[in-house]
Amino acid sequence: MKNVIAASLLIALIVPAAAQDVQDPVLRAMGDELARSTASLSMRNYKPPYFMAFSARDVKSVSASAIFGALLDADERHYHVGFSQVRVGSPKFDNTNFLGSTEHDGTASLSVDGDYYNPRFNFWALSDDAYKAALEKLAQKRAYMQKKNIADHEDDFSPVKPVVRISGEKREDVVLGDWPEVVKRVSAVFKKYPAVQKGLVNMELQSVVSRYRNSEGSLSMGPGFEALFTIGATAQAEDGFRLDKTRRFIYASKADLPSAEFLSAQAEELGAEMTSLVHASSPTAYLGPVIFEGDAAGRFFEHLLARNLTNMRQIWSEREYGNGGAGEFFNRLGMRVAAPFISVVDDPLAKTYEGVTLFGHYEVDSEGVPAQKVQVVRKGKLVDFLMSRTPAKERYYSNGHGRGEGDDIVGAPSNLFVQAEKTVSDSKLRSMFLDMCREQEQDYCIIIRDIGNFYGPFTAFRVDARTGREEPLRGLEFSGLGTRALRDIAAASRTARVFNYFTRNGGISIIAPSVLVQEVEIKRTEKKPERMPYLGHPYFSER
Amino acid sequence: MSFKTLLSVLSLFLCGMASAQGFTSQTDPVLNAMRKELSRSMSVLAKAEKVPLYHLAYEITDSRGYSFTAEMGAEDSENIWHVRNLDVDGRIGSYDFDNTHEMKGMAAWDEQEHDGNAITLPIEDDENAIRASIWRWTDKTFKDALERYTKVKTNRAVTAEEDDKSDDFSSGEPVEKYYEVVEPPIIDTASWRARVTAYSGMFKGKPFIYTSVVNFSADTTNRYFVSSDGADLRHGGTSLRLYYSITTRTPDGMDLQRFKSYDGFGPADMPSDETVRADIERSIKELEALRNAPVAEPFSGPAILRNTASAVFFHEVLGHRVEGHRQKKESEGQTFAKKANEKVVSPVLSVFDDPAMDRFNGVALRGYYKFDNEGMPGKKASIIENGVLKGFLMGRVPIRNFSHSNGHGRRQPGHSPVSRMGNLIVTVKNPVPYEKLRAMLVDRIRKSGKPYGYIFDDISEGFTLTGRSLPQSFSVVPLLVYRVYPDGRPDEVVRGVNMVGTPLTAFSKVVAGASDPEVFDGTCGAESGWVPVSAVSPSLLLSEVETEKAEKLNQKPPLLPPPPVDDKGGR
Repeated sequence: MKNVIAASLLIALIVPAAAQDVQDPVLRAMGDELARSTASLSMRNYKPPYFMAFSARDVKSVSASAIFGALLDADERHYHVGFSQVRVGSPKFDNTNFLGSTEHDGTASLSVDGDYYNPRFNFWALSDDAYKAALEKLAQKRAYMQKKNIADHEDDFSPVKPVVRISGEKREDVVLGDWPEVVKRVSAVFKKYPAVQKGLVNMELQSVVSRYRNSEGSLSMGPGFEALFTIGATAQAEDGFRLDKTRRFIYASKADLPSAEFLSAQAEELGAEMTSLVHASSPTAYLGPVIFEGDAAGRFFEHLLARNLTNMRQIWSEREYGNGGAGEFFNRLGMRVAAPFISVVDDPLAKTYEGVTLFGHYEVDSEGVPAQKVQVVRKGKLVDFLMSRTPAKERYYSNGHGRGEGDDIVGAPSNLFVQAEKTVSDSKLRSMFLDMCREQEQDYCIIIRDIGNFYGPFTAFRVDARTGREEPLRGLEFSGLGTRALRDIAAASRTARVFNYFTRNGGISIIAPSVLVQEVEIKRTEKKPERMPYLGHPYFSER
Repeated sequence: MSFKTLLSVLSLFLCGMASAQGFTSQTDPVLNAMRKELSRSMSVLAKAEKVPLYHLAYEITDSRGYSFTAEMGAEDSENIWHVRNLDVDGRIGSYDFDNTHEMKGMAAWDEQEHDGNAITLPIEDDENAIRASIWRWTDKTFKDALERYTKVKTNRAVTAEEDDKSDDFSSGEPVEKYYEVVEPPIIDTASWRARVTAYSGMFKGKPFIYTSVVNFSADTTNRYFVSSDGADLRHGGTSLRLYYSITTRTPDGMDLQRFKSYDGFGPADMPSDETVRADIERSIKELEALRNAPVAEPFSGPAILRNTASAVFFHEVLGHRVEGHRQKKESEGQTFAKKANEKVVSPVLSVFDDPAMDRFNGVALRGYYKFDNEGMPGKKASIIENGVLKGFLMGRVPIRNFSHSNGHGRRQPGHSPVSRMGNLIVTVKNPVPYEKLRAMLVDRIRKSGKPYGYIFDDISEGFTLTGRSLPQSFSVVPLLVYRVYPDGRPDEVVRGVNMVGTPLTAFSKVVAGASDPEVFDGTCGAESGWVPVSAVSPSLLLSEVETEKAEKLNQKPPLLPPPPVDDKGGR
């Protein structure tokens, strides 16, 4: 499970920076080492860093997994990871936004018992490595600039007012409790589905305390919570093609955790789904309207919208790679990116949607900047960027969307609301879809309800154009699905759903309706079927 | 309930699980699951394809453990685990040629490291769930074996004829049946937490110590093994280890380390608090001395290898070269392959490897086991007798003139077994007290006209190149080396020394040994993964040892000293 920042803070104290007496030993350790380093950390002929930051994630985690009704693993862990960022040069030109020949991995394992000296010692070691790596990188970047004959460039770091935020909330307790019994029970559901060759159930709860402190005086600390439940099943279609589906549930609050009954019902659904997929067909090619429904809508917007709104600054690099790592929309400010009735707002301050805690909620971002609600898309046009303190071409200042850890902090979404000016009921959406289908003289059209991996293969449903009857399909891949599809959205449902997922920069919630897209190209996967097992499953063969 | 209390409750729960059951070989649910799947699988797979599956074995490794790590006087992590791994070994073809046959030529380069033949199994004794996982993994293993058989059959036809034409798998081996349940000992975690944390605090405030760690761990392993030959086993053991490690770096960019581990089979084998504290104090002084020591120049002359240093030396330089399977691999150097019954090393040396030995002079031997990972009883293998090569470490892969296993087929879960060391024991003829050995060294230095000689006091690791594509050499990294002067001035510590040479030459230079054998307990990594081992040796006098300068990373030491310890901190 990826490590994610989910620092949900309540504003308990807002004070001008540096005026407060900090009690927390880890924050004190950060502050003391920052003071020492920015004053004295230097080599002959080189200046000390102009900026430094330390952050830390203290994680208490419980996890359990089960297979076929038996416990596979049950674990309780407590770990504490520290990160550092060092900037040398000046805010106009420093060691960041450049991919050097050696990348430096700046993490350290910190004590978990509230000690002062252990974190301080580790931050000392981290900052020494980071400073040396930063100097080398800055030199490489200067050389690169000269070699490429680059005349001008954006600044590397925009200014902000320092902010101190210490949350009054307490950290959630996480216990293994009877979760091992729950995952066992849920995994035992697959004993009723002979088509399933392997059925695996996992759970993990993480209670996090995140800390941040920098040399400008910004400071923040607060708790976070995240939970992941997965129910996965594998099977083989009648021709041997491997089928693999996982249902994933992410929660941002202990209060939202699912019941054993809910999870068991999900396992039953998955078992039935895998059974029906055994006889599913696999069309060679398809070109026509598609409904992205529920989780599939979430993934649709994750892949085409959220990803392309992430990191609007191209970095320099010897190695060529797409857009210099920036999301596709980095040069589309003012241009149409979605259908004209679609608007998009990103709001880290939103805490819940229809009673469910949102996964992208935070009050202060990973650079200590207060979160802001940002309208990103208005009537289909890209009107703003999600900004960290790294300036982009057409936006300079941070709007509290810097997300990540250490050296890897970029402007990224949090709670992304996809809003449609005009919406239709689910049944109207379906009838519009069937109308389109018949207009285009198709025998059938496709509804996608979940997409495990955007690059496929995935499963879907074939809807008969005349009767509306549904049948499962498998072995599908998108053929050239790009951001154009956002502009091809023909209609959106009234009801929106929350889709939570992890990225390396943090947890994200996409709140989006189901959508009907005018034209999508789908093809059969090139993956080959496998031989069926030589022997029958030992449990089912004996019954 | 606090997180920590829950952790200890969980550990007691896990420890209690085994003893509550009272299984026998007949009632053991894990073994029963394995037996049922084995017989079901063999009955179908033996004739499912044109080429038969002629051998199938299952090994389940159940590991239950505890680990506590501290750094700079504070807790870094505490972990409890219970995990089960399943390895499936399948052979298609026949004893004389099967799917495991060596691939030669270009195809060998293409072949990925075919490891990872293990999955995790439920830690509960649920026969249905265990059988389901075994079934799935057997099917995959069989299909992979079929594929490789086809490839290697063609490969053999199109590549040059092999020198050693012995079978791929030994037949006619004894079939073993054995059953024991090994339960984890009661570990006083509160006491270990306090001790390990306190030891880690001893490294605070030493400005030259840049990294440090202290760890205590306990692991109880139960291994279940069934094979189509009829082997049927459950056996295991417990391993405890306390270790510490500290490093520094010199201004010229050399990383230096001091390390010590204490190994045993149970809490009674662990050292006293006083012993550890004394060792830590000494290691700190040694590290400081090393940091201030001059860099050694390349050297060739007489030297003493102190006992534990010699043990590691023999492990790396001799031990790996007498692993049976290497003797017939076309890609290996085969230093000793055809030298059975020839004098290969100095006549004062005898060496054997005995996994059936559990202690040496009361000290626990980490390489102790009853049965290897092919179900064969661990047996004493005589390697060298008075300088003459007598045999090799054998698993079930025969080599020319040696067609049977002596119980040395070993692996870490997820790998295929190959012959590995267990407890490598080096003895010398007519040992003398160490002081006498040292006097002999000084004598030789004087007679040789060299300005000094060396004493290699500690070697923590080395590596050895046995492959044919690179020179047959070794490089062993001594951590603590002293210059010995013939004029009686005190020994002088030096740093940056690498012992080099070629194996056959090095071993011919041993002239005498002392009566001070000591145990080196460690972990050995090779193509079948990491396995616990030990090596025992007395101090040895070599007429000539060659050294070169050790490689250094050339990184700068930290620019600032570590944070002051007494600074309670600001805001």
